[in-house]
Amino acid sequence: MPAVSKGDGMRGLAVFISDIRNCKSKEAEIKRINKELANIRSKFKGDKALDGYSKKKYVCKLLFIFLLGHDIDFGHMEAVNLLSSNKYTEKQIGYLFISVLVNSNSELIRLINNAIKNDLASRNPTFMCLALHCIANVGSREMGEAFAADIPRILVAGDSMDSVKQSAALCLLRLYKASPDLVPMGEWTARVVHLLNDQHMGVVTAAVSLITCLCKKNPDDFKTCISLAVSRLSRIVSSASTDLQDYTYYFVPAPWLSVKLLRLLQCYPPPEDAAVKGRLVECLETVLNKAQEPPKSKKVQHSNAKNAILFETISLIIHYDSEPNLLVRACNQLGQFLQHRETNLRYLALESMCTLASSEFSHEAVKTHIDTVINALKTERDVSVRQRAADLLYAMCDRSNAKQIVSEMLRYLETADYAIREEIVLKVAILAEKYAVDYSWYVDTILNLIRIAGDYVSEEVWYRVLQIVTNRDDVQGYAAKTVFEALQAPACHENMVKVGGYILGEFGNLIAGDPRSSPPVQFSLLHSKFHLCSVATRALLLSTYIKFINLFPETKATIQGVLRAGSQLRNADVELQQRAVEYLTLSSVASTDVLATVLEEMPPFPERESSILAKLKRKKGPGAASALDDGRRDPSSNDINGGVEPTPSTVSTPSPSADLLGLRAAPPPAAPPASAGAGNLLVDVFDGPAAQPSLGPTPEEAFLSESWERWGRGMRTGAHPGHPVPLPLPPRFVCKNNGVLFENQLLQIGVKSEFRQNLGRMYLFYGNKTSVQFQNFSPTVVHPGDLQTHILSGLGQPPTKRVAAQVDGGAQVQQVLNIECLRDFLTPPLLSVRFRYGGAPQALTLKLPVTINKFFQPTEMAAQDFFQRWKQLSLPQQEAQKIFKANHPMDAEVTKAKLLGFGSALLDNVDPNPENFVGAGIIQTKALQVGCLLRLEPNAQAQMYRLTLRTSKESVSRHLCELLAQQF
Amino acid sequence: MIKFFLMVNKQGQTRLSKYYEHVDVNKRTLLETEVIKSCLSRSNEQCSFIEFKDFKLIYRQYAALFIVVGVNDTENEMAIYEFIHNFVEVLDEYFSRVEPINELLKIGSALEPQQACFSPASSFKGAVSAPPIY
Repeated sequence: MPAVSKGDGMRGLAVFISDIRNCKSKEAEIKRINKELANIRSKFKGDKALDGYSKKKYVCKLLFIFLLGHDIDFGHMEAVNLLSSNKYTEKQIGYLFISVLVNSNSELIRLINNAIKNDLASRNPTFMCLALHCIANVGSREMGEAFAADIPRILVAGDSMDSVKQSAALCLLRLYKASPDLVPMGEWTARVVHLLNDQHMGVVTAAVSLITCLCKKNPDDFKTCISLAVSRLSRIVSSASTDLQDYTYYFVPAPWLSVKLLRLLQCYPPPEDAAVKGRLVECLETVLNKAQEPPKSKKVQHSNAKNAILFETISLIIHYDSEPNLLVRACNQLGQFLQHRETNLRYLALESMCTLASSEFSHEAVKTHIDTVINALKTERDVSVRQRAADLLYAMCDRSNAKQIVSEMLRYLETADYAIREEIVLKVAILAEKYAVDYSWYVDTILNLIRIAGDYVSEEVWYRVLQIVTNRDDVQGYAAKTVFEALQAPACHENMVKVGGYILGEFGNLIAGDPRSSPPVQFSLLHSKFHLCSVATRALLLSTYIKFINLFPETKATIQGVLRAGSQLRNADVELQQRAVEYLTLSSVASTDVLATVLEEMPPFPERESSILAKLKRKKGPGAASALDDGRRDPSSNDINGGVEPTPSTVSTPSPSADLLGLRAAPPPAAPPASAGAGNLLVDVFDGPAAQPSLGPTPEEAFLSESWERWGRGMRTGAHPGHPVPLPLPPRFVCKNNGVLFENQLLQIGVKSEFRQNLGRMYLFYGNKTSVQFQNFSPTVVHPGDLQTHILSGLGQPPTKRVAAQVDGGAQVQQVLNIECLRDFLTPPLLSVRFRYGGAPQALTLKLPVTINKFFQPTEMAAQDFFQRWKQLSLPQQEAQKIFKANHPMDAEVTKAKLLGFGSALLDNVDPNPENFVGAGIIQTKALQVGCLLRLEPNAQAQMYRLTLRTSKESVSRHLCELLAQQF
Repeated sequence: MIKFFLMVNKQGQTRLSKYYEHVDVNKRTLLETEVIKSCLSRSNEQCSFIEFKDFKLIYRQYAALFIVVGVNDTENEMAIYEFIHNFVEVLDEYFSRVEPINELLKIGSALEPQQACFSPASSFKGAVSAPPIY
């Protein structure tokens, strides 16, 4: 390729540049530039036609001035003129100017495009390359629109020169990245793949880049590239170090091309063809072998290039994750690098090993390097390498080494860089929870965490320890003892005070027997921290105090004194003031029993994915999920570590734990609502908008209900049952009239119902599963739309009065509903149940099992009648049809029972195919009657059903079809 | 994949920049400042790879000149690291004396790193943009 040769050096330009460089000040430079601009302008405007050389020179000067940061508003025309020159240097400067200073002046763009077109068609490879480079460098959508269709043709044309093909491939890649929609896929794609076989290594390199990008969108179109890439790779890997001439870099044959081929293979799963796979495995082994051979050169460039290939090879091995032998070899190789004197290699080895740790085949092999990695964590001078070491420790952790790793990470935390402390804290917290063998170790670890790096312990972490302690009886006493000891430190972190306050408030009684931690001692210890803490912590401590009054009546007088103090009762902070006032009143007004109920121990938290894990995932982005998700290598995570297991639940059966507090009416898999903000742990637990503190005189009822919420709010949340989304109706109730409609840990609702014509009667049974009385128990029926229902008093103790209805612990109450269907309807009426449990308001809304098919009147008829009516209902809107896959085993008897339960009559000997079911019935409503015919055709072979419904009303056809289809 | 290629001197002045993804011109200045800051703050003991925002920087220092390549996280760090050296060798070969300012135009016109193409016979000419010398 001709360069700007020294003799062609445009003296005027050199002089101008050295003038500029000699300028003493900015002003002098501007003056010199203005003079030059005036000169160029006059030359361009002059009558005398400029020759190509002068034009080139002046355009160059303009370009230089532009690069110095000055605006250029003329000369574009001259540059465009240069494009049509036949001299390389002139054309080149023209293209350079266009690439740098292109503007969307439409007149010029037309001219430029024209010049590019001419050059592309010129068959002069140098000119074609210049034009292609210009298209790629501008890379705009307009350029794409003008040329995207031509370039593939040039790329695969048999007579294109190598350099042109190379440029065309890269140009196409650029256009494809900028606007993928403009590049037409077509038969050329198959031929592009064959460029991998090209003689010219530059063409192959460019083609690999292009194919790697294209195949991500259309993997199947480029699948043939696998075998070609493997054979090309194999030829390179096995070539002698000098075979490839220009493409040999310090005795390494084509290192960058090898890397690219290996990367291309990572777009696909392992080759299916055994021969191809065998050849590839051979290549990978060769690369691993070469790493052990003595280097062919002492130069660092040689080993760098070799290692580049080696790392990419290991990436591919990890990507396939199917060759245990290779994985272990890769791990050993990386193990050698862990102690290499080059920091870069240590860094990369730690990084690659992190991904190896998540493979079941190499996890054990990675673990053997634990001491080296711990040493790296302690001694590496580079923070980014230490960070990688910490990541690797996290990835290789399992039950066998958790204690060692956690303690090393805790030690590292004391000296860790501030930037990564929070992440380390999260990791320690997760490992401690996940691999906890006993809970005292877990509690110790988290408290240590708070002690060492309290500032970096986010809320999620200390919420989590509270959740776990609350849910595990066996650790509560130990936790209370440990926090009590930790709080003895003269200076302890505020997070420690929070955890201590909460735990002692709940479980302080467990250590009260010891005179060293008697109630007054506990209280004075906590209170000694009170004044140093923030408002949120003080609010939490006030809640602890009121709980102390319940736990330890002997502290009542002292605590009331504290609450009564002016600094509390007249606190400037409204939250603290309100708590002080309310708690003081509560402690003096309420009887011991009421107090005990209100201030009872917190119920266990529902288990769900650890929010700490979620936070770490957020921090690391989605890519980190694989390293974190080690479910497959530790499938036996037991109950201790249940927090990381997904909550088992299905939509149809509301999970009991999900509704522990009854505040969360939607089924558990629902996404956290917007009010949960950043997906905070306890917001998640309590769900719902925070209750506003009522500032007016507080009626006792509201007061009681709020005191429990306060606990939550001390931890940034509160709860009010808003308007919950009704729970979906379990589909089985479409065909059944009796059963358990809803059940959680508190409440069970059973239902029994009967229907005749358009009337129905439903018995609802509310069972209190706890030992505590439900207060203000009030179930009401909401009937949206046309379905009017009446609630009549029955024989039992129906809670018809909204106030003061109570359900004793373990008791069951009954409610009777009379139902009348006035017209056809789509959504069932809702049952809304509200009550107070232990002072906390509970609310849930469910759909009553009343669907339109309950008002079915079966009709028997002969085949002839059936077909006559079937034909009468032949308008397209009268028919609804659904074809669906069977969700349950296809048993004719079960199907029959379901259809009968659905309400229609089953007609035998109607359908010529005995496998099919045919039914008929009339839906009875007060306003009208709707005749229904149905036909269900099972296909046992395909495990599919076809369901057809014909009724005289379009909405009824569709609704019945949907209801019935979900039954099979 | 390479996102950008920068040549910056120790004073923090950009000598050559090439972006392979669209970045606003005013954001480029900001980005380049941050990039060179994080490179300058590193010692010889530290590795040549920096995690920077959502991508990685790979840098090498030649006397007063830093060459920094921004890549996404699927890129092979070692390959890019050695590519930088290859690039410098080519510059050395092509111009017997690499001096940023005089040769600016020539570098710009004759030698520009090819997008994702590591052949020594680099022939992908392209735009060069550099700020004022002051």
